[in-house]
Amino acid sequence: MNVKSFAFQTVYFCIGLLIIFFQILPLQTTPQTWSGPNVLLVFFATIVTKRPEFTSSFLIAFIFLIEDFFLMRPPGLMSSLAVLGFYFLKRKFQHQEESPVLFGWGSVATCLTLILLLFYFISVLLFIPSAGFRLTLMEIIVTLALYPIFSLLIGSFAKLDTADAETIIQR
Amino acid sequence: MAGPNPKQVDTLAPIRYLATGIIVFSLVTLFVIWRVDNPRVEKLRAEVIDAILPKFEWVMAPATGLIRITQDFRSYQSLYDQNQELRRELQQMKSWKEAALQLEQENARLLDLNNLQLDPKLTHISSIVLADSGSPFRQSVLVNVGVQDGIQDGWATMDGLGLVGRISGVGSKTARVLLLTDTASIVPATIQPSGQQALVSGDNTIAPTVEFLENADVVRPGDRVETSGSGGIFPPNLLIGRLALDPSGRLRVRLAADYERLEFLRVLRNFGTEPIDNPGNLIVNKNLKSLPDDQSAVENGT
Repeated sequence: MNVKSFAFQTVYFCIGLLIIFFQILPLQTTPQTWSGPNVLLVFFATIVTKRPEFTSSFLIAFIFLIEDFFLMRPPGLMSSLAVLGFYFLKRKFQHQEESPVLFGWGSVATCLTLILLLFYFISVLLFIPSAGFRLTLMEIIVTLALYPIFSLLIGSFAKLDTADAETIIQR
Repeated sequence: MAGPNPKQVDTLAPIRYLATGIIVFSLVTLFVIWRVDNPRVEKLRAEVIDAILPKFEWVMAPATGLIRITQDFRSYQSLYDQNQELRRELQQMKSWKEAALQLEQENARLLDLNNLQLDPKLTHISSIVLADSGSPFRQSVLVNVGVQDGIQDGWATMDGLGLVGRISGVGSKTARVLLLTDTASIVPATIQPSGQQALVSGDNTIAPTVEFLENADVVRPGDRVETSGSGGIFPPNLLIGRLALDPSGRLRVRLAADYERLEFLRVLRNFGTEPIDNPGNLIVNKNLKSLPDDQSAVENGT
């Protein structure tokens, strides 16, 4: 169990690094009027809801801190919010075997919105230069829209895995 | 095996709780330290990036190239129109080239006549853009030169034509360039030909705003905007762009540098001019310099 958990966490870490890598490719050097989704946040939200047993606060803190450093965000702010948000999300999802789909999406949406909004408001309160509320709002909307897609994608993988495990046990 | 054992979860829950608490506490501490003592944590940021980014350098260029080719594919479809347009532009450029050659010769002759020496300190280091800021909230790029190449914080960075930004954060092999379009970027500027002083400050749009202009009546859209060199950060007279008026009546700078394609940047070596804070040093001979100190010592003693 421990080895499996470690392997999964390594895989998640590598996917996280890959997401950061594609974000920082120098393709867009002019300021944009729109904002893409926060892919890393959505990815880990999906993992936390679909495979809560294979995530740890340490992994989330580490990958988000790296993203903080690379994306020139204040180091520690987004990562601490993500660790806290995902911790509560994980607790919610770990105790329920089969939660209704809408309830799951609702709590994930609340969690992601809270993380992004708190990040914005703390930045404004502490006079950290930020790009304005419009971009933040757009980021929240696109991020929430991306979650169902990720959830379906990773959900299908997860189902495959549990089905495999069950067949192995039956043998 | 597949699902978590409920008993196991219960025993581990307090440990998880504590660990998460410690992690969050240390992250918040890092954030607070960043807010209070910014330069030290920014140095840490530069070192973290420096440790990770060079390992990805080999895959970064091909990935960027590949994505650019697919992006450009759309423009291949209108190849004929582009070709026509380029021919027209080339015609115009030829006449400009003639004019430029004549001007260059004239300039060389005049320089020779005046026996003028260009500042030998103002040389540049060329660099390749490795990565951008990765989010629409900040505007910066990472370049592949660093302390190893003698880069220092605050140096001006240009593309072939105009100012792009300043170095902000140096690692041993990488450095971050804060672009003029970032909300944290403020550059003192002079507007020519009127010579008005102003600040060019980024606001996350392609055209930074011009602020604190002394007299807005004597400048007009189309004027050249150059660095003024005040504050000692940038060398003076680097081209930033041209003045423009946006629909709401604010003055902005249309940047001369091509921000669409920042691929190669030159970092200007600038060790700064020697500050003159004591006018006496200019006049008094160095051998006699000890004299005033002795006098003041005597005065203090009595």
